[in-house]
Amino acid sequence: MTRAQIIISDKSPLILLGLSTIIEKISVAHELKTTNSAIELITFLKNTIPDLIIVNPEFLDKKQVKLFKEIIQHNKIKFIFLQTGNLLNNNNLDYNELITPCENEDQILKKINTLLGEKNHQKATKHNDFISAREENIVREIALGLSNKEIADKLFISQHTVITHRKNITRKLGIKSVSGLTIYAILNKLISLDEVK
Amino acid sequence: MLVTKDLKMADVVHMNHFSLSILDRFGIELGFGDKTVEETCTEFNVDPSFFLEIINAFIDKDYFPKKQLQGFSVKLITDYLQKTHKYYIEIKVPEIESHIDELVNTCYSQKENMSLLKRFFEEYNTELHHHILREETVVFPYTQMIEDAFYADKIDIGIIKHMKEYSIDIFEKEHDDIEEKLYDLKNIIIKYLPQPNNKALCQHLLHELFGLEKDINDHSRIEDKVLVPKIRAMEKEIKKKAGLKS
Repeated sequence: MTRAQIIISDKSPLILLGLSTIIEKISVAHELKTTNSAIELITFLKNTIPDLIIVNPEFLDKKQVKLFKEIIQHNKIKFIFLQTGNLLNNNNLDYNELITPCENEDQILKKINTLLGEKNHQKATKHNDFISAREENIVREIALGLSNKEIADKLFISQHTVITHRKNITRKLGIKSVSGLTIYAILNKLISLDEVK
Repeated sequence: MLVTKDLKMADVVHMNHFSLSILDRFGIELGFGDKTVEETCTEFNVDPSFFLEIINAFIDKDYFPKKQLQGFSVKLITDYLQKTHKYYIEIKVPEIESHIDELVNTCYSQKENMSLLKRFFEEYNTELHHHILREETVVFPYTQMIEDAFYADKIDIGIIKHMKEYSIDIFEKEHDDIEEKLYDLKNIIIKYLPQPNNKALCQHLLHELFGLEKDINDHSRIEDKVLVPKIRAMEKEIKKKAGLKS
């Protein structure tokens, strides 16, 4: 599973910190980088192709803006205009979305989710709080048709532990049968349809 | 409210419309005017007291007349159970299947997931068929044999031999939980499946699943709480008569 690469850049550390706190909540697996230096941003973009850039381009100088524009157009990177200053977009930059500081959390999350959702439509994992990561592993193995003993051997745990996990999974999910768990696994992208015999 | 023999049959349906499926099973047809439960039952050759116990047990699951129901003959009970089997296989399951088909055909937002549901229900259907077949070819004939032996003057040695190979305890042990998958299916739709574009159909399907589940629960209750104890008591008695330790 590849994580979505996100970079945020603005000169204000307050904005950076606030925005990254919000972004942590998006439902897509991601890696977040923040910087308040224009040079660092440009250097980063030269080496890495992120999935999403959230930048206030006002703090870039003319040359940097030109470079920035080239990079995002060339690599078709999603770009959210972070309008933290009073100035409007006067750099002729095309952007996918616009975020202003007076927007609430939901609005911001929605914009980011939509953009990332378009990017890794298939890959997006739906992280939920139904069951723990360990339990998800077990559901995956059950859905693949493994027996308790096989699961125990594969995950280096005792059969007794596997049984306890299964009990908890059934209690938490409200699904008892193996075929029911298989559907759960497919719906939550723990396994793909092709993996199930 | 308890259904009594003097209540109007029409009021029973008004009270709980799910009872329609029970009426149908007994072969009672609509159009009963102001006739009472007793009158309607007599007209359709149904034992009124048996009908009353069954309908009350169905309407109110807390009202469960174990004792009264165990007083009826095995034949009466298994006939009723067989009729509910028929109702599942011939009416309910095809109805749900067509709902699912329609759901698959009109869904464009998540066709794949809908096909999963379809596959799941097909599996359930196979399981249900298997379950019913086993009851009708093995269990019910056995219960009839036990009842016949119970009322016979002499205990046939063949019966004792048969009882050693198969007993109602074995049935109880292997009587699998046929509601399990239905419960799963409901939960998958309610809790985990993203709402499809054809919401109304989806809700209709859920409604049907709840109905079938209630019916099957009622059916299993009669098997486990009425038929099994009744046969077990008879088995004991037969062994006693034959001079065997139970």
